Amino acid sequence: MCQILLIDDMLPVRHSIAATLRKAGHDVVEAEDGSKGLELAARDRFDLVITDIMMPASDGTDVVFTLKSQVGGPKVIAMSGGGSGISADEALQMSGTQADAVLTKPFTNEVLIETVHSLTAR
Amino acid sequence: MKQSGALMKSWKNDGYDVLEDIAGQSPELLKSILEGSPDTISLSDASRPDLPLAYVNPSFEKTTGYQRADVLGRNCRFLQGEETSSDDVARIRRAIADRQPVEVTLVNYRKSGEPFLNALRIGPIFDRSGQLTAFLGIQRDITEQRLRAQQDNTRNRLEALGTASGALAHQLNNLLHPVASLLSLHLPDITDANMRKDLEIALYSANQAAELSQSLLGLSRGRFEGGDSATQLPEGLLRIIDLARLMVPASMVIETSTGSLSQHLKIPINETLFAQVVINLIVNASQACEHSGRIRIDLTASQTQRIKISIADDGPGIPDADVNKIFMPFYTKRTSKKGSGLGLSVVKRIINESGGLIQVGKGLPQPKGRGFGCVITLDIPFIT
Repeated sequence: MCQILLIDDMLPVRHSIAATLRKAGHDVVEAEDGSKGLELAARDRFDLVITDIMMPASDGTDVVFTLKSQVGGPKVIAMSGGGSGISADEALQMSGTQADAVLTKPFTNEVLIETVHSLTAR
Repeated sequence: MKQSGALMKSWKNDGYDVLEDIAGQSPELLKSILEGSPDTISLSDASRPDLPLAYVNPSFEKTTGYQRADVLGRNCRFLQGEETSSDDVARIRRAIADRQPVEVTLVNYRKSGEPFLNALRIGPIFDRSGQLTAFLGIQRDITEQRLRAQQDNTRNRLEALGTASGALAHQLNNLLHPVASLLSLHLPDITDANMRKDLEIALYSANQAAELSQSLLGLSRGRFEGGDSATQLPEGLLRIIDLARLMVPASMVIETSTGSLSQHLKIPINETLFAQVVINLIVNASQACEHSGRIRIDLTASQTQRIKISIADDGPGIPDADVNKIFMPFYTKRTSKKGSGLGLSVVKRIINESGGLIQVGKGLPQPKGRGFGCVITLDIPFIT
């Protein structure tokens, strides 16, 4: 079981990812944008942070870079489906260099659980 | 200076004086103006019955392919042909009867039988006494312009479609993800077999919708936005066929075979332009089959650095007499009268510009008939 912080601005998407993670036995804290996510990450200890990249209020790329610049910080998964005129690969290009893993939306529940497992199993 | 001063002065008095001055001082100039004009100039004699041509300039000969000797003394209606609109001709007749100027853009035919789009202006010419002496015709062949406009127009539409469908696909993906994810998350816990079956159908539909949305996204991913000057095969072709499927009725069966293509290849055509080509051919085939029939698309690479893409249908086929005409502009007989008749000309132009060839032949056997449908084969060099 892991402590996971999940950051996504779309409530239904966030809810379904959180439900999948919880069912797999993880503890999930949800945040709706990057700055709220960083606040939570500064306050509590998480094993893993999963963040969307393209969000209206604050970009997920900042979350990835901030967390990965800290020594002993959590593992980070960047996820994106891209946006208008931007492919998922392009959206993930920057953060992909820093994140421990990337997830291209849409992904299945199985892929999500597997990716989480591969980063947190020890 | 002295000369131009004289011209200015006489211009104020009467336009004819200027012409008389020019004619007097430089008798060759008027002739040179007419003979050198890049626009086609013709003069019909209004004093004789049926308005016979009294003069045509070299540009007329070049555009129409007729020599002066072929046409002088004849009424210029010999330029008309089967695709010439009778409405346009009626407008010309009416203007001539009313001695009014008229502007018409109509399909005319060269001596070779090749159609061209003629932007024609006709004006009555009166002599000094006010007597109608001639009709002056000034014409320009705007076929090339029209083809380019058609091509640009279709490309803009495809690019807009790509952008819009990309934006739509992102929204759909975000909505479909929770549907599929939550259904598959909780399905294993449903013990009621009937309820599980229902939810499995819901999940299946959500996944199908997500797949459709992904293929929409493929259209917008930089490929339909004009940048890249090459199309990747077979992926690009398959993506375009997916789009074309949405543009023809479900009663058209489209079969695709890229089986013999062992590697990934690139052809030197921008994917938006290539989409114009393929969509045009598929939609044409569907129209020929009256929207109920079979289209088979084969992709094969030859030994000679070229790739062949054939689009065959089981429709009525092309009459032998028309085989050489279908790529000419304004060939609309087979397809609907609603069409511009420029589709296949644009297709040919795009393919030729990439160093490719386009051919027409006998397609799939007709379901009931004894004959064959039509096949259009594109033969395009690939990039190594």
